[in-house]
Amino acid sequence: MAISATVVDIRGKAVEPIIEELLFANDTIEKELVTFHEDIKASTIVTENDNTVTMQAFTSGAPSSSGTFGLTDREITPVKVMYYQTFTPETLRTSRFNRSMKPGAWNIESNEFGTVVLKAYGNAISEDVQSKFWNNIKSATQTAIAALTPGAGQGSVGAAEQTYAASLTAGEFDGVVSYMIYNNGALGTRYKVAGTTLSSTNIATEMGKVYAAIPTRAANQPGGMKVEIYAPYEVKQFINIYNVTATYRDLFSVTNLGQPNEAYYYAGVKINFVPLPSNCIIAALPSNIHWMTDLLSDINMFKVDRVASNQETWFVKHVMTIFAHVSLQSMNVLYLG
Amino acid sequence: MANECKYKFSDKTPKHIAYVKNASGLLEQKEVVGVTPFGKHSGVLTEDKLTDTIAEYLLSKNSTNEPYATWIVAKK
Repeated sequence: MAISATVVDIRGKAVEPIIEELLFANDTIEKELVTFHEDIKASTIVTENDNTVTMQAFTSGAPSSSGTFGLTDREITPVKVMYYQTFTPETLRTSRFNRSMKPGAWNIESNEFGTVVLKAYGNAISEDVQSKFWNNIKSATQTAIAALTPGAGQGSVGAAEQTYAASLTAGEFDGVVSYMIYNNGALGTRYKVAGTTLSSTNIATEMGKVYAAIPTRAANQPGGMKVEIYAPYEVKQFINIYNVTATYRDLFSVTNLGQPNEAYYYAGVKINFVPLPSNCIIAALPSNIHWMTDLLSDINMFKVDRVASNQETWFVKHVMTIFAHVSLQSMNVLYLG
Repeated sequence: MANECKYKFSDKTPKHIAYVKNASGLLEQKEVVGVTPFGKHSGVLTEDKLTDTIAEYLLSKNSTNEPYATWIVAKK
Protein backbone atom coordinates (compact mmCIF):
# COMPACT_ATOMS: atom_id res chain seq x y z
CA MET A 1 0.00 0.00 0.00
CA ALA A 2 1.44 3.35 -1.03
CA ILE A 3 1.23 6.52 1.00
CA SER A 4 -2.41 7.61 1.17
CA ALA A 5 -1.79 11.32 0.94
CA THR A 6 -3.60 14.50 0.24
CA VAL A 7 -0.48 16.62 0.06
CA VAL A 8 -0.02 20.18 -1.05
CA ASP A 9 3.15 21.16 -2.88
CA ILE A 10 5.01 23.27 -0.36
CA ARG A 11 5.72 26.86 -1.40
CA GLY A 12 6.11 28.56 1.95
CA LYS A 13 5.94 27.52 5.57
CA ALA A 14 4.36 24.49 7.20
CA VAL A 15 2.65 24.55 10.58
CA GLU A 16 4.58 22.68 13.25
CA PRO A 17 4.07 20.11 14.50
CA ILE A 18 2.25 17.65 12.25
CA ILE A 19 -1.18 17.05 13.77
CA GLU A 20 -1.27 13.40 14.66
CA GLU A 21 -4.40 11.30 15.04
CA LEU A 22 -5.59 10.65 18.57
CA LEU A 23 -4.64 7.18 19.74
CA PHE A 24 -5.24 5.27 22.95
CA ALA A 25 -2.11 4.62 24.95
CA ASN A 26 -1.34 0.95 25.46
CA ASP A 27 -2.13 1.05 29.16
CA THR A 28 -2.43 -2.72 29.31
CA ILE A 29 1.33 -2.92 28.84
CA GLU A 30 2.50 0.43 30.20
CA LYS A 31 0.55 0.13 33.45
CA GLU A 32 0.95 -3.67 33.66
CA LEU A 33 -2.77 -4.25 33.99
CA VAL A 34 -2.45 -7.99 33.39
CA THR A 35 0.26 -10.63 33.85
CA PHE A 36 2.95 -10.80 31.17
CA HIS A 37 4.92 -13.85 30.11
CA GLU A 38 7.88 -13.55 27.77
CA ASP A 39 10.07 -16.14 26.07
CA ILE A 40 6.98 -18.11 25.04
CA LYS A 41 7.95 -19.47 21.62
CA ALA A 42 5.75 -22.53 21.15
CA SER A 43 4.14 -25.46 22.97
CA THR A 44 4.52 -23.92 26.40
CA ILE A 45 2.65 -25.72 29.17
CA VAL A 46 0.50 -23.71 31.56
CA THR A 47 -0.66 -25.81 34.50
CA GLU A 48 -3.51 -25.08 36.87
CA ASN A 49 -3.68 -26.89 40.20
CA ASP A 50 -7.02 -27.36 41.92
CA ASN A 51 -7.06 -29.75 44.86
CA THR A 52 -9.94 -31.13 46.91
CA VAL A 53 -9.58 -32.41 50.46
CA THR A 54 -11.95 -34.56 52.51
CA MET A 55 -12.04 -34.65 56.29
CA GLN A 56 -12.92 -38.11 57.59
CA ALA A 57 -13.26 -39.79 60.95
CA PHE A 58 -10.08 -41.14 62.41
CA THR A 59 -9.54 -44.86 62.15
CA SER A 60 -6.77 -46.98 63.54
CA GLY A 61 -7.16 -49.34 60.63
CA ALA A 62 -6.25 -48.78 57.01
CA PRO A 63 -7.69 -45.41 55.96
CA SER A 64 -9.52 -44.82 52.71
CA SER A 65 -8.08 -42.33 50.26
CA SER A 66 -10.35 -39.39 49.56
CA GLY A 67 -9.71 -36.12 47.72
CA THR A 68 -8.01 -35.20 44.48
CA PHE A 69 -4.92 -33.50 43.16
CA GLY A 70 -6.34 -31.64 40.18
CA LEU A 71 -3.86 -30.77 37.49
CA THR A 72 -4.97 -29.25 34.19
CA ASP A 73 -2.39 -28.57 31.50
CA ARG A 74 -2.93 -26.19 28.65
CA GLU A 75 -0.43 -26.12 25.77
CA ILE A 76 0.01 -22.62 24.42
CA THR A 77 1.67 -21.49 21.23
CA PRO A 78 1.46 -17.71 20.68
CA VAL A 79 0.24 -16.68 17.25
CA LYS A 80 2.79 -14.95 15.05
CA VAL A 81 1.37 -11.82 13.45
CA MET A 82 2.76 -9.04 11.36
CA TYR A 83 1.99 -5.56 10.08
CA TYR A 84 3.45 -4.74 6.69
CA GLN A 85 3.05 -2.03 4.14
CA THR A 86 5.07 -0.34 1.46
CA PHE A 87 5.39 3.32 0.64
CA THR A 88 7.10 5.49 -1.95
CA PRO A 89 8.99 8.53 -0.61
CA GLU A 90 8.88 10.08 -4.12
CA THR A 91 5.22 10.87 -3.34
CA LEU A 92 6.45 13.32 -0.69
CA ARG A 93 9.09 15.10 -2.77
CA THR A 94 6.94 18.18 -3.34
CA SER A 95 5.37 18.25 0.11
CA ARG A 96 6.43 19.69 3.45
CA PHE A 97 8.59 16.62 3.99
CA ASN A 98 11.10 17.78 1.38
CA ARG A 99 12.38 20.27 3.95
CA SER A 100 14.05 17.39 5.81
CA MET A 101 15.41 15.64 2.68
CA LYS A 102 19.10 16.05 1.96
CA PRO A 103 20.06 17.64 -1.38
CA GLY A 104 20.46 15.33 -4.34
CA ALA A 105 18.10 13.30 -6.46
CA TRP A 106 19.17 10.13 -4.68
CA ASN A 107 18.23 11.55 -1.26
CA ILE A 108 14.49 11.11 -0.97
CA GLU A 109 14.20 10.00 2.66
CA SER A 110 12.55 12.53 4.96
CA ASN A 111 13.73 12.73 8.54
CA GLU A 112 10.45 14.38 9.51
CA PHE A 113 8.45 11.56 7.92
CA GLY A 114 10.48 9.02 9.85
CA THR A 115 10.36 10.73 13.23
CA VAL A 116 6.73 11.77 13.10
CA VAL A 117 4.67 9.71 10.69
CA LEU A 118 6.42 6.39 11.13
CA LYS A 119 6.51 6.92 14.89
CA ALA A 120 2.76 7.49 14.82
CA TYR A 121 2.41 4.35 12.69
CA GLY A 122 4.18 2.45 15.44
CA ASN A 123 1.81 3.90 18.03
CA ALA A 124 -1.13 2.81 15.87
CA ILE A 125 0.22 -0.73 15.88
CA SER A 126 0.50 -0.67 19.66
CA GLU A 127 -3.08 0.55 19.96
CA ASP A 128 -4.33 -2.13 17.56
CA VAL A 129 -2.50 -4.94 19.37
CA GLN A 130 -3.89 -3.85 22.73
CA SER A 131 -7.39 -3.63 21.26
CA LYS A 132 -7.17 -7.13 19.82
CA PHE A 133 -5.72 -8.58 23.04
CA TRP A 134 -9.05 -7.76 24.69
CA ASN A 135 -11.45 -7.73 21.75
CA ASN A 136 -10.76 -10.29 19.03
CA ILE A 137 -11.89 -13.73 17.89
CA LYS A 138 -10.73 -16.55 15.64
CA SER A 139 -13.03 -17.77 12.92
CA ALA A 140 -13.17 -21.25 14.47
CA THR A 141 -14.17 -19.85 17.86
CA GLN A 142 -16.82 -17.67 16.23
CA THR A 143 -18.30 -20.72 14.52
CA ALA A 144 -18.17 -22.80 17.69
CA ILE A 145 -19.95 -20.17 19.79
CA ALA A 146 -22.64 -19.78 17.14
CA ALA A 147 -23.29 -23.53 17.26
CA LEU A 148 -23.91 -23.63 21.02
CA THR A 149 -27.42 -23.75 22.44
CA PRO A 150 -27.95 -20.54 24.37
CA GLY A 151 -29.42 -20.35 27.83
CA ALA A 152 -29.62 -18.24 30.94
CA GLY A 153 -27.80 -20.67 33.20
CA GLN A 154 -24.08 -20.57 33.99
CA GLY A 155 -23.54 -23.73 31.99
CA SER A 156 -24.84 -22.18 28.79
CA VAL A 157 -23.62 -19.50 26.45
CA GLY A 158 -25.57 -16.28 26.82
CA ALA A 159 -27.48 -14.56 24.02
CA ALA A 160 -25.31 -11.49 24.54
CA GLU A 161 -22.19 -13.63 24.24
CA GLN A 162 -23.39 -15.15 20.97
CA THR A 163 -24.28 -11.69 19.67
CA TYR A 164 -20.83 -10.37 20.61
CA ALA A 165 -19.01 -13.25 18.95
CA ALA A 166 -21.08 -12.91 15.78
CA SER A 167 -20.42 -9.16 15.53
CA LEU A 168 -16.65 -9.39 15.50
CA THR A 169 -14.54 -9.58 12.36
CA ALA A 170 -12.55 -12.79 12.73
CA GLY A 171 -8.86 -12.29 13.40
CA GLU A 172 -5.68 -14.20 14.15
CA PHE A 173 -6.28 -15.12 17.81
CA ASP A 174 -8.93 -15.07 20.53
CA GLY A 175 -9.01 -11.96 22.67
CA VAL A 176 -9.68 -12.09 26.41
CA VAL A 177 -13.47 -11.76 26.13
CA SER A 178 -13.78 -14.44 23.44
CA TYR A 179 -11.46 -16.71 25.39
CA MET A 180 -13.56 -16.32 28.52
CA ILE A 181 -16.65 -17.33 26.53
CA TYR A 182 -15.12 -20.33 24.75
CA ASN A 183 -11.72 -22.00 25.01
CA ASN A 184 -10.04 -25.37 24.82
CA GLY A 185 -12.91 -26.72 22.73
CA ALA A 186 -15.62 -25.94 25.24
CA LEU A 187 -17.70 -23.21 26.84
CA GLY A 188 -15.60 -21.19 29.26
CA THR A 189 -16.31 -21.49 32.98
CA ARG A 190 -16.44 -17.72 33.56
CA TYR A 191 -19.08 -16.40 35.93
CA LYS A 192 -21.59 -14.96 33.51
CA VAL A 193 -23.61 -11.85 34.33
CA ALA A 194 -26.41 -10.81 31.97
CA GLY A 195 -26.03 -7.14 31.26
CA THR A 196 -27.60 -4.29 29.39
CA THR A 197 -26.58 -1.17 27.52
CA LEU A 198 -24.47 0.89 29.91
CA SER A 199 -25.09 4.58 30.50
CA SER A 200 -24.41 7.18 33.17
CA THR A 201 -27.86 6.53 34.68
CA ASN A 202 -27.42 2.81 35.23
CA ILE A 203 -23.65 2.47 35.68
CA ALA A 204 -23.92 2.22 39.47
CA THR A 205 -26.55 -0.52 39.34
CA GLU A 206 -24.77 -2.50 36.64
CA MET A 207 -21.35 -2.21 38.28
CA GLY A 208 -23.03 -3.48 41.44
CA LYS A 209 -24.07 -6.64 39.58
CA VAL A 210 -20.44 -7.25 38.60
CA TYR A 211 -19.22 -6.60 42.13
CA ALA A 212 -21.82 -8.90 43.67
CA ALA A 213 -20.86 -11.67 41.27
CA ILE A 214 -17.17 -11.73 42.22
CA PRO A 215 -16.51 -15.14 43.78
CA THR A 216 -15.76 -14.72 47.49
CA ARG A 217 -12.50 -16.64 47.16
CA ALA A 218 -11.27 -14.16 44.55
CA ALA A 219 -12.50 -11.18 46.53
CA ASN A 220 -10.75 -12.30 49.72
CA GLN A 221 -7.29 -13.29 48.67
CA PRO A 222 -4.50 -12.71 51.19
CA GLY A 223 -1.58 -10.38 50.71
CA GLY A 224 -1.47 -7.93 47.84
CA MET A 225 -3.65 -9.89 45.45
CA LYS A 226 -6.82 -7.95 44.75
CA VAL A 227 -9.53 -8.37 42.18
CA GLU A 228 -9.67 -5.51 39.67
CA ILE A 229 -12.42 -4.42 37.34
CA TYR A 230 -11.78 -3.92 33.63
CA ALA A 231 -14.21 -1.64 31.83
CA PRO A 232 -14.44 -0.03 28.38
CA TYR A 233 -13.21 3.55 28.03
CA GLU A 234 -16.65 5.16 27.91
CA VAL A 235 -17.42 3.90 31.42
CA LYS A 236 -15.03 6.53 32.80
CA GLN A 237 -17.28 9.27 31.43
CA PHE A 238 -20.39 7.48 32.71
CA ILE A 239 -18.86 7.40 36.19
CA ASN A 240 -17.86 11.06 36.10
CA ILE A 241 -21.35 12.08 34.99
CA TYR A 242 -22.91 9.86 37.67
CA ASN A 243 -20.70 11.44 40.35
CA VAL A 244 -21.78 14.95 39.41
CA THR A 245 -25.27 14.29 40.81
CA ALA A 246 -24.36 11.66 43.41
CA THR A 247 -25.05 12.79 46.97
CA TYR A 248 -22.11 10.80 48.29
CA ARG A 249 -19.18 9.89 46.07
CA ASP A 250 -18.13 6.87 48.06
CA LEU A 251 -19.60 4.31 45.67
CA PHE A 252 -17.42 5.39 42.78
CA SER A 253 -14.40 7.07 44.33
CA VAL A 254 -12.00 8.91 42.08
CA THR A 255 -8.56 10.15 43.14
CA ASN A 256 -6.58 12.83 41.30
CA LEU A 257 -9.42 13.41 38.83
CA GLY A 258 -8.13 14.85 35.58
CA GLN A 259 -4.51 14.23 36.47
CA PRO A 260 -2.20 11.71 34.75
CA ASN A 261 -2.34 9.54 37.89
CA GLU A 262 -6.12 9.61 38.29
CA ALA A 263 -7.58 6.37 39.65
CA TYR A 264 -11.11 5.00 39.78
CA TYR A 265 -12.60 2.58 42.29
CA TYR A 266 -15.96 0.90 42.85
CA ALA A 267 -16.49 -0.04 46.50
CA GLY A 268 -12.73 -0.14 46.88
CA VAL A 269 -12.12 -2.26 43.77
CA LYS A 270 -9.82 -0.60 41.26
CA ILE A 271 -11.27 0.02 37.79
CA ASN A 272 -8.98 -0.17 34.75
CA PHE A 273 -10.14 1.27 31.44
CA VAL A 274 -9.12 -0.87 28.47
CA PRO A 275 -10.42 -1.39 24.89
CA LEU A 276 -13.17 -3.81 25.87
CA PRO A 277 -16.36 -3.95 23.79
CA SER A 278 -19.08 -1.58 24.85
CA ASN A 279 -21.42 -2.93 27.54
CA CYS A 280 -18.78 -5.37 28.76
CA ILE A 281 -17.12 -5.48 32.18
CA ILE A 282 -14.67 -8.03 33.54
CA ALA A 283 -13.74 -8.60 37.18
CA ALA A 284 -10.68 -10.72 37.77
CA LEU A 285 -7.39 -10.97 39.58
CA PRO A 286 -4.74 -9.50 37.23
CA SER A 287 -2.82 -12.73 37.81
CA ASN A 288 -5.62 -14.59 35.97
CA ILE A 289 -5.31 -12.64 32.72
CA HIS A 290 -2.16 -13.41 30.74
CA TRP A 291 -0.45 -11.68 27.84
CA MET A 292 1.89 -14.30 26.43
CA THR A 293 4.55 -13.43 23.88
CA ASP A 294 8.07 -14.19 22.73
CA LEU A 295 9.42 -10.75 23.60
CA LEU A 296 7.25 -7.93 24.94
CA SER A 297 9.45 -5.23 23.44
CA ASP A 298 8.75 -6.63 19.94
CA ILE A 299 5.66 -4.42 20.07
CA ASN A 300 7.91 -1.36 19.88
CA MET A 301 10.15 -2.51 17.03
CA PHE A 302 9.60 -2.35 13.30
CA LYS A 303 11.96 -2.39 10.36
CA VAL A 304 12.07 0.19 7.58
CA ASP A 305 14.06 -0.54 4.42
CA ARG A 306 13.94 -0.62 0.63
CA VAL A 307 11.88 -3.48 -0.86
CA ALA A 308 14.78 -4.13 -3.20
CA SER A 309 18.07 -2.35 -3.72
CA ASN A 310 17.16 -1.35 -7.29
CA GLN A 311 13.88 0.31 -6.29
CA GLU A 312 12.69 3.41 -4.46
CA THR A 313 9.79 1.61 -2.83
CA TRP A 314 10.26 1.17 0.91
CA PHE A 315 8.56 -1.12 3.39
CA VAL A 316 7.72 -0.90 7.07
CA LYS A 317 7.35 -4.29 8.78
CA HIS A 318 6.43 -5.28 12.31
CA VAL A 319 6.45 -8.86 13.65
CA MET A 320 5.40 -10.19 17.02
CA THR A 321 3.74 -13.13 18.73
CA ILE A 322 0.79 -12.94 21.08
CA PHE A 323 -1.65 -15.13 23.00
CA ALA A 324 -4.38 -14.07 25.42
CA HIS A 325 -4.88 -16.68 28.15
CA VAL A 326 -7.27 -16.65 31.09
CA SER A 327 -6.66 -18.92 34.06
CA LEU A 328 -8.83 -19.94 37.04
CA GLN A 329 -11.79 -19.17 34.84
CA SER A 330 -14.48 -19.78 37.45
CA MET A 331 -12.94 -17.01 39.56
CA ASN A 332 -13.50 -14.38 36.86
CA VAL A 333 -16.69 -12.43 36.09
CA LEU A 334 -17.79 -11.59 32.55
CA TYR A 335 -20.59 -9.02 32.26
CA LEU A 336 -21.90 -8.58 28.73
CA GLY A 337 -25.05 -6.70 27.79
CA MET B 1 -24.08 -21.83 6.02
CA ALA B 2 -27.70 -21.17 5.16
CA ASN B 3 -29.32 -18.48 7.22
CA GLU B 4 -32.52 -19.99 8.65
CA CYS B 5 -33.28 -17.03 10.84
CA LYS B 6 -36.91 -15.88 11.09
CA TYR B 7 -35.70 -12.28 11.10
CA LYS B 8 -33.97 -9.96 8.70
CA PHE B 9 -32.75 -6.37 8.63
CA SER B 10 -35.16 -3.73 7.40
CA ASP B 11 -34.29 -1.10 4.81
CA LYS B 12 -33.91 1.34 7.71
CA THR B 13 -30.97 -0.58 9.14
CA PRO B 14 -27.91 1.66 9.11
CA LYS B 15 -24.78 1.16 7.06
CA HIS B 16 -21.33 1.03 8.61
CA ILE B 17 -17.77 0.81 7.42
CA ALA B 18 -16.52 -2.61 8.51
CA TYR B 19 -13.38 -4.63 8.00
CA VAL B 20 -13.98 -7.74 5.92
CA LYS B 21 -11.48 -10.28 4.64
CA ASN B 22 -10.73 -10.09 0.93
CA ALA B 23 -9.67 -12.93 -1.37
CA SER B 24 -6.07 -12.57 -0.15
CA GLY B 25 -7.10 -13.00 3.47
CA LEU B 26 -6.30 -9.39 4.30
CA LEU B 27 -8.77 -7.04 5.91
CA GLU B 28 -10.22 -4.27 3.78
CA GLN B 29 -12.80 -1.64 4.55
CA LYS B 30 -16.23 -2.13 3.09
CA GLU B 31 -19.62 -0.56 3.65
CA VAL B 32 -22.07 -3.09 5.09
CA VAL B 33 -25.61 -3.04 6.46
CA GLY B 34 -25.80 -4.05 10.10
CA VAL B 35 -25.84 -3.10 13.75
CA THR B 36 -23.11 -2.47 16.29
CA PRO B 37 -24.46 -3.60 19.67
CA PHE B 38 -20.99 -3.59 21.27
CA GLY B 39 -19.65 -0.47 19.65
CA LYS B 40 -18.15 0.07 16.20
CA HIS B 41 -14.76 -1.09 17.49
CA SER B 42 -16.30 -4.53 18.11
CA GLY B 43 -17.44 -5.11 14.58
CA VAL B 44 -20.71 -4.96 12.66
CA LEU B 45 -23.33 -7.67 13.00
CA THR B 46 -24.49 -8.34 9.46
CA GLU B 47 -27.62 -10.16 8.35
CA ASP B 48 -25.78 -13.36 7.50
CA LYS B 49 -24.82 -13.69 11.19
CA LEU B 50 -28.35 -13.04 12.47
CA THR B 51 -30.00 -15.94 14.32
CA ASP B 52 -33.33 -16.12 16.12
CA THR B 53 -31.53 -15.92 19.46
CA ILE B 54 -29.49 -12.90 18.47
CA ALA B 55 -32.43 -11.12 16.85
CA GLU B 56 -34.73 -11.67 19.82
CA TYR B 57 -31.99 -10.63 22.21
CA LEU B 58 -31.46 -7.38 20.32
CA LEU B 59 -35.20 -6.76 20.10
CA SER B 60 -35.33 -7.07 23.90
CA LYS B 61 -32.86 -4.16 24.05
CA ASN B 62 -34.96 -1.92 21.84
CA SER B 63 -34.72 1.72 22.93
CA THR B 64 -34.74 5.23 21.55
CA ASN B 65 -30.97 5.17 21.08
CA GLU B 66 -30.94 1.59 19.80
CA PRO B 67 -34.18 1.12 17.80
CA TYR B 68 -33.68 -2.55 17.05
CA ALA B 69 -37.42 -2.95 16.53
CA THR B 70 -37.05 -0.65 13.54
CA TRP B 71 -33.95 -2.35 12.21
CA ILE B 72 -34.90 -6.01 12.74
CA VAL B 73 -38.15 -7.32 11.32
CA ALA B 74 -39.70 -10.74 10.89
CA LYS B 75 -39.42 -12.37 7.50
CA LYS B 76 -42.74 -12.86 5.73
